[in-house]
Amino acid sequence: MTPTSRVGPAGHRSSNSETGVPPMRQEMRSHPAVLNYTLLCLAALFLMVVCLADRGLEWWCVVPSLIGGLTLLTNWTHGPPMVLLSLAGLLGMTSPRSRGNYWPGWSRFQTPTLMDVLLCFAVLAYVVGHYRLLSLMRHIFPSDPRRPRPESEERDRRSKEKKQTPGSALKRSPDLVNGREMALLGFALPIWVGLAVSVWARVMGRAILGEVPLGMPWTMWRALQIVWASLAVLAAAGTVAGYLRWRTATPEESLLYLQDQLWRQTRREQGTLNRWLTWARLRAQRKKESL
Amino acid sequence: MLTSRGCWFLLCVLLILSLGLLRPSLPLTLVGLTLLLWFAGQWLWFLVRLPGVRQLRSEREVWDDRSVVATLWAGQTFEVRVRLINEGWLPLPHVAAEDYSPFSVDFVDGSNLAQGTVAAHQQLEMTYRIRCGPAGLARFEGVRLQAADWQGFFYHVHFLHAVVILPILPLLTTRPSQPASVKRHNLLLPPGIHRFRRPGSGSELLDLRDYLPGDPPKTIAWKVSARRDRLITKEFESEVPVRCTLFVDMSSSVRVPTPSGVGSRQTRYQKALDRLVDLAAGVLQANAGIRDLTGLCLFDEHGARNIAPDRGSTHRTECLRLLAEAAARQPGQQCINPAHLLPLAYSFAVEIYPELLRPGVNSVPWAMMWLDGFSGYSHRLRLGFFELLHRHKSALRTLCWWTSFWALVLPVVLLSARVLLRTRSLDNVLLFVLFFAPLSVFATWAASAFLFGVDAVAGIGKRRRDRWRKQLAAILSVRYRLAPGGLATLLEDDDAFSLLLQRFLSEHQVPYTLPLYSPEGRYLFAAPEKVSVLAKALVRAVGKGRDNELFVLLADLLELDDALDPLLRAVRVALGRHHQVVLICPWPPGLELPPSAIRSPRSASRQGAKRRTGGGSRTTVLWDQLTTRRFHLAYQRLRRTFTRMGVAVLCAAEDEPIPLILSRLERLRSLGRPHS
Repeated sequence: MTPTSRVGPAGHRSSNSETGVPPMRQEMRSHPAVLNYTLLCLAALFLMVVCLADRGLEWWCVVPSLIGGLTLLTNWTHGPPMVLLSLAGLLGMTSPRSRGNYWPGWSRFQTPTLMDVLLCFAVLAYVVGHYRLLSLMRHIFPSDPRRPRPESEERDRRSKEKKQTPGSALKRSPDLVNGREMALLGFALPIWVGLAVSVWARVMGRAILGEVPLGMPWTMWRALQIVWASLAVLAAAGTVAGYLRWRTATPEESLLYLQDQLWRQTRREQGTLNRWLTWARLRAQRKKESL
Repeated sequence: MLTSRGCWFLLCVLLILSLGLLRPSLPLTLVGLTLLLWFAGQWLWFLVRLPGVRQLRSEREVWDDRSVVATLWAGQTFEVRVRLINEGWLPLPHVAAEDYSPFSVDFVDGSNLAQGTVAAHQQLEMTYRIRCGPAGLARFEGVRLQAADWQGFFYHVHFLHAVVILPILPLLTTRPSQPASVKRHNLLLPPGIHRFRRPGSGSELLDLRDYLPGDPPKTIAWKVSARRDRLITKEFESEVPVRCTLFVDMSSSVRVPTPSGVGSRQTRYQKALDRLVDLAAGVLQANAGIRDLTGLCLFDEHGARNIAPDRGSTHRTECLRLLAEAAARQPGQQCINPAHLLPLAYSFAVEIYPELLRPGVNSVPWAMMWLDGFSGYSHRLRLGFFELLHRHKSALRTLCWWTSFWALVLPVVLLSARVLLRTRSLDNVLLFVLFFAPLSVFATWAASAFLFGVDAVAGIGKRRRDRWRKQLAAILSVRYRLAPGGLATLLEDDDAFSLLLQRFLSEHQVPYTLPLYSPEGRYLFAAPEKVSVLAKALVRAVGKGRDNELFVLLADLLELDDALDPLLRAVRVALGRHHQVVLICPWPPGLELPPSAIRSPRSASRQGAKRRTGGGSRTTVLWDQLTTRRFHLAYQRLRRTFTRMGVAVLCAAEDEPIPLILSRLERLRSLGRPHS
């Protein structure tokens, strides 16, 4: 027996709009917020084609955009990873190594061109747009296996004309998307690309490189630096997050943690003791009943 | 918490970055770096705003048509308004809030969901309407919050506990034939006052007797005295209020729920107690209408709670509140296999206590899942092979270690012994041990490995059950403030764990069903102890009663013939004191009425229709017929037993309208009272 259905009071209902009925997919597509994000994705895909064409990829340059367009049309959840992987495949194939230049001493003195920067911009814009579109069209929260899936609900609603559907709050309501959000996105995209370019220039610059110790290859030294820096940042962020979590923990959570620690240390001994105690109690109970 | 969408994206970005660095490709590296930085920025931004989600403040109001209310009424519709206020200085991530409405109400319209990005000092609002079910308690647990970033990469669930418990009072029914509470005729007594044929200070003449010194002169019947030539005094009737005491059965037998139909998303359960509470409320209302004093006694198998007879709105409200609280109680039983309640309780805990199920505070060691298991000392004597294997994995492991130990030690001991005494038999034994010890070790380890493998494949459900049990036991141990070893006790003791599970579900007003019979076939909810409790309560009420009391026993006494003696004695005492007793027996919902209880043709035709349309397999039909027959016989026996003593027995069936029962009570009261 498994809890396949969600435990809850009867008739938890939801509504994304003021009418109390979530809009259907066709209605959603014509919503201004959805249209805006769709246009953003299409523009980003077009820019991606231009950037890839500039690298001399000929007809292959349309492959990521085609995949992106198709996934945009079908609202496939794995669309952005597929586009990214196809892009990685294309760019990886056309990298210097594939042309026979083995270990070109890294491109430390190579500076990003405008097309590289535009490609980053296009990819980021597409990824942000598509994921936000998925939040509007598919789901923003991970689906709960105990709840009925929104697609099946929508089907039910169409067929049986049910007035309200539970679980549709998984989607983000398009009414909540405002101009400020779009403006913020337009403002943030160049900043992230600029930040990445500056980090690249900073990390690959000779100024901070210094002397390579132990005579190890330069690439290995750079990789070690990046790995250790990333680990340090992750550890610091994790520590801060953990501290914040414990700071805001309730007394029950703290008590539960202490109890859990005690139990983990002594669970075998406690288990043996309690097993015998239970056995003795039941034995006494059986004796009492038999009298 | 990273969602699967976020996981896939991060994996792709790391792949791109690695490829860009290793191939090497500058644009690929730049793309990967851009995406990684953006992802990290989103994570940090989400993390910074997350504490604000836990610090949201909620306000809840329940409105009727006019104003905010603190009590609800069964069957009525109310509006719930919930506000979530962000008191922090940062905007929250995208939040979806769902108000967790009680199990005892039905959703009518509106929305208990709201979503949005709540800016600082702004609020989310939800408004929806509910219709109350039967009498009981409506427990509003709080608001379930789900937070995510706009891309759906990060996700956090939090439950904002804001418990509000409102009583759902039973609906008061009005009787069309009920006499008005105002005096309409000069001959009628004021409401609530009834004539009683005992000397008293009333206005109606009862008798004449000889004058006794001390009698007031105004009571002397002068004309009669003159005619008889001695002083004769008039005696008047008493005018007393009729006091009615309701004895309502709250034992497990009337609290056992039975499914009464499937609603929109939930099976509704009906208890015999609901009907009793409705009847008690109806009698209370009817008595209040004629200003009779009404007392209440709630009893179960453990004890009784009394409220002295009184009248007035405060007393009535208090009685209704007590009835509502009693109606909200769920059945409790010790000898229940916790597996019956575990999925429901865990699923509920996932909804309400997500923060207490985090692996950080409530972990499940992998060794427990895969190597140990826990035995959970069970009442069940016959366990299946896979269950035994799952429970005693640790014994298997111990066996392996002991075999290995002895396989090493025994040859060494025998070799040492052989150094000291050289005998042929010892040589034989040594040879035998040297040959078979490694063989037995190998065989034991191989067999154990095989059995562990079998358990790994066949024990998926059992491992899940163990995980649920451990996590729930930890929550229960903390919630009910058990000693530090409480968690281990709950893991081993099925009875203690089962009782706490029932308490947990009952406190949260989660409806649940329990098996009616023990593995040995014994009915678990008969509760014969309640008969002696009821008898004591009745004797006590008789002792405290004055004149002309009406005792209404709303008790399930079916199939308790062997235990009825104390109650019969108490009833005899009550009748001997010239009181009246009425027994109203609850009837299991959905079961065919006994022949004597079917009075209206409509009800009879409905019963007949039910009987004819009863589908199901042949076994089910046969089982239904047997059950019905058994209950009918039990009702007839009960009726015969009490009718012999002059106690009316009524069946509080589902189709029996409350006014009908009330009118029968009124008739009984009138018939039993002379000159009234």
